[in-house]
Amino acid sequence: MIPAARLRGWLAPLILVVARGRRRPARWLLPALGIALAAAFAVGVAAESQIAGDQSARSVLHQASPLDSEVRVTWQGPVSPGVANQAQALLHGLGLGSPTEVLLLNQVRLDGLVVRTAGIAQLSRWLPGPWPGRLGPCRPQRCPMLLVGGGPPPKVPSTLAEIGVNIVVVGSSPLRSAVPLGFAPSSADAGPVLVTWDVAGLDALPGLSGLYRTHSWLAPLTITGLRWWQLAGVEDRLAGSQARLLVSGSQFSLSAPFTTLDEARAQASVAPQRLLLAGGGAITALAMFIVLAGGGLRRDQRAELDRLRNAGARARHCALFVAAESGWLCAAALSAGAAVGIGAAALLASSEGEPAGAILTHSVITWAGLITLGTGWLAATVLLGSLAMLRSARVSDLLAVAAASALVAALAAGTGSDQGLALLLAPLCCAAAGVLTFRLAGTALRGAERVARSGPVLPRLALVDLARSPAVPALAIAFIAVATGLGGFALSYRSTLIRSAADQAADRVPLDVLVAPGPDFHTPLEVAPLQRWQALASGAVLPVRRTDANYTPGGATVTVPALGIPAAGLAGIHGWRESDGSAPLTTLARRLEPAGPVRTAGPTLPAAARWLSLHATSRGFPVVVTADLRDPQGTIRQVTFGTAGAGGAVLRAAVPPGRWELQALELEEPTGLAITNGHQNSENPAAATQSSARVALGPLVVLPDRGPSLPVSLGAWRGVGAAASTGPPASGAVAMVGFSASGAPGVVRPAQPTDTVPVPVLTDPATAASAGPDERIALTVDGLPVTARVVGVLSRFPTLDPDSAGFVVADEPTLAAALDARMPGQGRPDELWISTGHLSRVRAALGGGTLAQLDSSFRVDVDQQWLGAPVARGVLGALFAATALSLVLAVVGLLTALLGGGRDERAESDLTEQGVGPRGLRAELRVRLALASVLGVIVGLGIAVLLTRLAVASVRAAGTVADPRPPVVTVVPWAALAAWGVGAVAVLALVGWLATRALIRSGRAGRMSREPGTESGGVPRESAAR
Amino acid sequence: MSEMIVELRDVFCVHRTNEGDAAALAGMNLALGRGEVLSVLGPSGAGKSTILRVVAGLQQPSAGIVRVLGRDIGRMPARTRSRLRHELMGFLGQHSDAALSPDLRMRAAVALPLRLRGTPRRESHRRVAELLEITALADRADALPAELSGGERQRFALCAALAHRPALLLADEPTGELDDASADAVRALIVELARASGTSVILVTHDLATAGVADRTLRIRDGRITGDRLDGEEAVVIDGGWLRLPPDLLAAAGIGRRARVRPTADGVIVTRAAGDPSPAPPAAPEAQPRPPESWTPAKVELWDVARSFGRGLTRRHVLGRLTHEFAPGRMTAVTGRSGAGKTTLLKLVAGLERATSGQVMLDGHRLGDLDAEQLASLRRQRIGYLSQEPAPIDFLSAEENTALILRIRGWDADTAAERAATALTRAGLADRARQRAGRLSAGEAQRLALARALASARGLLIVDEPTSRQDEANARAVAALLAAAAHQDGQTVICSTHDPAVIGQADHVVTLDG
Repeated sequence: MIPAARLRGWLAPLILVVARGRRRPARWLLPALGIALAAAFAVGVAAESQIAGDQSARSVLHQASPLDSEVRVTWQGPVSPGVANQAQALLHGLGLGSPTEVLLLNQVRLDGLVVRTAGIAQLSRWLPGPWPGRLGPCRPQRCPMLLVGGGPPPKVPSTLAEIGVNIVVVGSSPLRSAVPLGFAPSSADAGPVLVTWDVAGLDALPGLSGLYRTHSWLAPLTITGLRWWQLAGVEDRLAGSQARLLVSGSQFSLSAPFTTLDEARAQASVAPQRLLLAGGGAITALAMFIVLAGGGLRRDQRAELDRLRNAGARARHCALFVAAESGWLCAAALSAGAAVGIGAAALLASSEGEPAGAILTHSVITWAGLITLGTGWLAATVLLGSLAMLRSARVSDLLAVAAASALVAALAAGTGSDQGLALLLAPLCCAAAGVLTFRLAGTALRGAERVARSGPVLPRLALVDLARSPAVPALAIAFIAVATGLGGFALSYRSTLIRSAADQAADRVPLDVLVAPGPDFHTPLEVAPLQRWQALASGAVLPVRRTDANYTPGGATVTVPALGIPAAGLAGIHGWRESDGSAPLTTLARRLEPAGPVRTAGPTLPAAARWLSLHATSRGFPVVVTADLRDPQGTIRQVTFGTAGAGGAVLRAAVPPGRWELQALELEEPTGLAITNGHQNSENPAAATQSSARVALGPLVVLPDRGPSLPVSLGAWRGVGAAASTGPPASGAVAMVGFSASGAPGVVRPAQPTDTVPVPVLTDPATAASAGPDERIALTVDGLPVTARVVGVLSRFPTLDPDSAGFVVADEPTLAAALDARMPGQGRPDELWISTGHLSRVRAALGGGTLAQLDSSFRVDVDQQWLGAPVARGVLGALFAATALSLVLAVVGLLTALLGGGRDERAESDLTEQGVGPRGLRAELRVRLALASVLGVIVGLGIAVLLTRLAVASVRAAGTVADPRPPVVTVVPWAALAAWGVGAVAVLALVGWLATRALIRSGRAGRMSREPGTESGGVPRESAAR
Repeated sequence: MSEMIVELRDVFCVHRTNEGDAAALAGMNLALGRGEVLSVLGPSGAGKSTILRVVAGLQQPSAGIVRVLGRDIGRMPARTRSRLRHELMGFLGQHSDAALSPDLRMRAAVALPLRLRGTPRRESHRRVAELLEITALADRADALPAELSGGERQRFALCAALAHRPALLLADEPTGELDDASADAVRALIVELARASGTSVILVTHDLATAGVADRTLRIRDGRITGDRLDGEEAVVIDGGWLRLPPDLLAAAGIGRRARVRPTADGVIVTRAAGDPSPAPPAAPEAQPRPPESWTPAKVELWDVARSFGRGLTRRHVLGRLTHEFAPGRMTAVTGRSGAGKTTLLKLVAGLERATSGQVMLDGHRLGDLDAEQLASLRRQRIGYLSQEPAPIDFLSAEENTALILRIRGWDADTAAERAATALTRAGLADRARQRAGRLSAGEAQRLALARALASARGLLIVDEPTSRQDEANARAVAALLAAAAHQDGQTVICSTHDPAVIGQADHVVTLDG
């Protein structure tokens, strides 16, 4: 039992706390403001993390295809009414809309045609328009069905009849979605698909009763409407239903967008982690402000504690005094800050289009939030209290040592710390640097005062006053330094992020647009000629050949990606770094360019040519002879002459209309021989079956519609591949080649420059190291031998996977010529890299019509996708918000420290007594403010430059790509940093100028009114002369 | 022998500083019985305040034993020391602002020690009223410290220290800033407390009158006891063969540096040794170097000057219709009880305050007509000012402090340094000129401030309680210095004081009496 006297004794410190609070509440303005801002910021970050998480989740959910958004209950085999009821009840229980019942039967041959039949209840929902034709119920006598699927309709007879089945195809229509069937019906792949709305009727058709079938009941799960915090509940309900379903029957299965939901949750949970780390660091920095603020103003509290001790207070009284004073301050400040933060968070949520109430109730206004607030209150109270109770020198020394260690460790870790911790490190480093600044500023000020002793009086006086009680100005300087440092780091982060985003985008899309084959593998130049692309882009269009290359260093085969790109276009690619190549890009491009023509054209056929006539003889085995005709676009068309035998024969091949160049003749084994050889080779790969034939080709004559025939001289043509010239080139009309039956074709064509001149290539260092002494390297590109010469080394190249074993880059026309020389048509470009000033026009063209089948990527989209990542945006926002708050604290701290509670009025009175007038006092104060501001900003900029080391790690941690390509590089925005420094000094100077003007003008009256006096007047009683 | 309340045995206190270690107490031995009033006299920096802090457990001794009520307070944990202070002690520090919270009204401030000890509210009220009645402060009970004069604050601080009837009262210069009447009341209060409740008291003072009420007086110098006066008889202290004699006694006996001791049946006889030089005469009040130049003495006149603070019901008249002409080139002492308006008068003359009515004239200029810049300029050109609470810059040396003030007043660096050195020598701080101001004792700091004022005065020297922290000898030296400033330098000196030594040197005395 505590005695009453002791209880009464505890009231004394509380009375003192109340008196102090009532008399001069302004003394706590700075720490209170710091705590309030930290609380508001914490609330804001918590809400923003929720917003970012939700946006991340929703971006994943929005990308999900309708097929991935359905909940589907499937029953394998014939269905009973009980099963249907169970499935429908389950979907109903999940709160989903009315389900669609789907019956899908396996393929069946009807009237010689393999078809799939299906029943989709509520079929009209899945069709783009009204039903074509009359689609009645499905009966064995007549089952009307629709032919569904994309692409050109296949030839399906109007009636498909078997025993017990009489399907009448009443029309055709594409399905709006792949959802009901679970696949997109396409006649090209799986044959025609016929659909009826009468599920029961189709199920009951006796002629199809033996077919394996599945029943599905599917209902849309509107995942795009789901919020992050709803995902877990939805997923749990689905998983529970799935488990119950499996228990009730093994024929049941439930599919739902588990993967999408999981991915959305994963993405969403990353955002808060990252943001809370970034915010946590900033909050820690703000907490350090509180510590510093409390430390700077502890003189007053310590004096009160001394008075208390002198009055007989015991340790518990002192502790109670400190706890009560710190406690109410923290409680009031935290409450105010939390209220402001909640308001700001609501505004933020609304501006982001998020439900403010839900965001708050899932982030801030929660039990965890309240507990955090309580913990924060306790921590802040203990911090402030400890500062008053403990010896400051020891605390600040301890803090300084800890801060220095943390700073060194963090900066040593530098870019290596690539995980979320990096986000925490930067603000923590700021805080640590702030503590160090606080600890060292006093010494620096005294040193500066010593240096200024021989200088003018005014700056010396200002320095003397700064150094007089250095803790307070040091605090202000530390405030400014941390604010400037945080701001500088935010600028570095932003610059690095922008540069990184641009680099990532340029790595994926080196020019403005990259067009690649779509799902049907049609290349862009197959879909539209180069001229059309050039007209569309009104800019550079680079045809690019993307394939693989092999080489064999030391017997092992290494496969690397190979890229052919016009050397002339290399200079235009974005995101190139000097460090990416062994020489400047223009130099490397020059080295790739061929010295002369890369290709020798074959004879051009006249426009009137209709036939090619070739005399061919093959001794050994028959050989199929084909002509490769090349159109002006470079597309190869093969026309077959026929099979040449031992007796020799004149073979003819029809020339299609158009302008053609005869690029080569190809020799192949007859199909039967190829199959036999292939079979034997596959059975016994060690000793491949091979045979050879001697083939005489020529004379070759071009036969036009009218006019004289045109002979083609083949004597100088060379055989490559499976064909090999048997003698030196000659000028005759006949080419003599040997042909090996190896499964590969033989090509006979004019001699090409690439036969003797190696293809210049740029490679990675490892590949370059595999080259011979003359830098030559034997490559197999796309299965064809190509002799290359390494003319430069690159560390990376856009669009090429850095994880591959290496890469090869060549000039596209040269590479194409080399490949075409081995296999006509093999050098065709796969992609187009487009540079355009009409992006919207290109985008529109690629979004519709025939070009829509191609895959296209826009650099600006990739750029925006990276920059617009919720986490990256959130981190940037948190950093700038923390900077703004820090600057506010810095301004308030500066004014409070030098003009407000920290102002040494005794020193000021002393100056007044010594004859310094208001102008002098004002000037001295302004010089003091300016010195503190400039010193703080300089230190802050130093901190910012140091922290740029962490910008890369922070950008990587906040990004959505784990290992960005190319690696993120630090960007130090010197101009922006300088502007930020000048701006900060200007703001501080302006605020200081205004404040001193108001202060000194009103200050004198204030001081005079506080002079001591008595209640009665003094009257001279005696004046005695001695 | 009565119960020992306090006992110090061979106590050393060494302060470690960058300039070298300094022993505040060097083998101090002391014993205080129950109900005994002990005064400790000594010059500034002798270690008087350190004794109190050591006894209070606020400072740990470097060596030796400090027993309070038989318990070694030097080896107690902080918590126990705190309890001991709580239960037994009343502490009155040297500065009243260290005793009174600036945010508490005086009634609450005096009641605070009672409340800390859990005294019931009614009893606490009664005790506070009783103390305020005795000290005649009842009508100022609702004031804040900032609204009080220095003397009033000191009396309130003493009330707070006595409120809970401590068994041991430790008081550091309790009458330092008080007028005679207030000082008498304070002394009476202390003695009454000691007699009535058996409180033991240690009074650190430089005031002989205050020391006179004590049962026993110790004189200390350089951290050692040099004299022990008990029941009117001066004794010297013997400690293990060491005998220290008071300098005054030695001087009176004509003994300088060497003495001869001869045993007798009753003890020993100490006589002057052969070849011993005569003791040097007291240094402080003597031979001040004359400054290189003299100034036209300022002519200061007050015409019907009144000064009041506040408005309406809270309006307080500090000075009322005061007319006086301060004689140029003469020293005028302004006296009066605490709160009579002495400081206010000095500030009016210095242009730091404006009169509510009437005119303050300086060299014919009506100060009321000058703006703040002009007043500041006038101070720079003419006035040396020593305030009651001077604020030297801690980390600068005494010399640098003085020179800086002179630089502010427009002297070039060399002249400022020269004048600073001269002024410090005149103030008796020549050997402390390079010491950091923060390392000076309170008395030395006050003399440093005086040196600054002296160096910067060019016709008018205004000083406020210049001896409040000086021991007797230094007070006499300061008084002589002020008189010299008037008579030799030609300064008009206006000095607020209640110190008879200063009043004795003044050419004129103005007594303010509300």
